[in-house]
Order: sequence, then structure tokens, then C-alpha cells
Amino acid sequence: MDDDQEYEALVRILEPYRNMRIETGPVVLSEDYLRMIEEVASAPENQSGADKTWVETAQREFREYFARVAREN
Amino acid sequence: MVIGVSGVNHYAQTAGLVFTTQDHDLFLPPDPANEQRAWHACRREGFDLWCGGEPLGEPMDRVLAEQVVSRRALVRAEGHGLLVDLTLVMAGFAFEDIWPRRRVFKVGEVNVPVASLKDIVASKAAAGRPKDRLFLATHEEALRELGRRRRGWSSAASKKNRRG
Repeated sequence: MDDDQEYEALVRILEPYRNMRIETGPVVLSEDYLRMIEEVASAPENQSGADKTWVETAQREFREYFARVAREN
Repeated sequence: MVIGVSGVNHYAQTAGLVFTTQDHDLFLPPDPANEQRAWHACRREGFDLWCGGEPLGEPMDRVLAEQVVSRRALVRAEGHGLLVDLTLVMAGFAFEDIWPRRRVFKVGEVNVPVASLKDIVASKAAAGRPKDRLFLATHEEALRELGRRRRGWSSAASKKNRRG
């Protein structure tokens, strides 16, 4: 498949999405979601002073992984 | 203070709940002196600074900081594979409203102030852009799934205890 054919195939695939209406504007959060947020925020590991070094490590590893995937493809 | 998806990630209870993001949003108070300090700190660490798609002007003096703050302009620091947005705006909130509700987490040797989870989520709900809506739907589902798994673990543990 040459570049033009690939492009045309891509346009065909994306056609239904071009007409999709994406909603915007304020969202009302459900009671259930707010309750779950409250639970997470009140967990002992989420109080001030907690060590979150692992979060930064995980975020860095994700970034490095995706950068590698992008380069390889 | 960290806000945005990166802020939410600080409340993740498992690595599976850490959302992939390339940018980190830092919400700064509308204070020119503080803004200037943030710029200089970024430069010292090897980040390039951008504002409105152009390199941040020189010199990075008080006059420039006052202009940026009065316009509530976004300054982006780019480097080390990271994008750090120094923002003066958080949808639905003023800096002084959310600062008292922050958590201060340790990352290595650094104390990192992070906005409360509820404030970050409420801000995304107020902004309501497609990417915010997508994030909220995904985050809600991830928390629900975590709850289901925990109930599963706890029920399996009590069965095991009854047997043993």
C-alpha cells in the first residue's frame, strides 16, 4: 500500500468520527463518585507527610516507555 | 502546588491507578515575585521557558512577571522529556481558596504541595473540556473497579479465615 492509499484508508476510518459531536461544559459529579473520592482522600497513605516517591518513579517509567515505543515505531 | 492529572496521581493507591501524562500542572499564586522565582528555578534545572508559543522574553525581570501575572498567562517549562505548566488559573477556584486544603507529600527529599483530590476533580468538572470529561469518566470507573476488587479480596480473605 503506498502513501496515498494509506492516507485514503485513514480518511475512511476517521470519517464517522468527524461528524461526532463532543460534549463540553460543566459536569455534575455523581454522589457515588464524590463518596469514592472522599474515601481515597481520607486513606492513611494519602495524608500529608506520606512518601509518594513511587508515584514520580511510575510516571517517569511510563513516559520513558511511551517515548521508546514512539521511537521504535 | 501540583494540580491536574499529575496531582490526581499522587492520590493513586496502586500503580494501576496512575494515569499516564506528559505534563505537570503547577498552580502558582498571582504573585510576580513568586512567578519570577519559579522561572529562575526552572532555568537553573535546564528547562526552556515558553509563553504563548514563543520563548519567554528576556530579561526575566519584575516587569515581565507583572505582565504575565496580570494577564494570567501560562508559562510552559520544557526539558528532560517533561512539560511543566506554570499556571495562574484553575477552573472554578482561586489560589487562596484551595491552598489551605492542600496535602504536602514527600517525593524523595522534597516536600511537594498537592491540591486536594476533591478540588482537582471539581476543577476538571467545572472546566468540562472533552479531555476533562474523558478523564473524569475514566477516573470514576477506575475507583469503582478498585472498590470491587477490594470487596473481592476482603470476601476471599474472610472465607479463608472461616475455613482455616
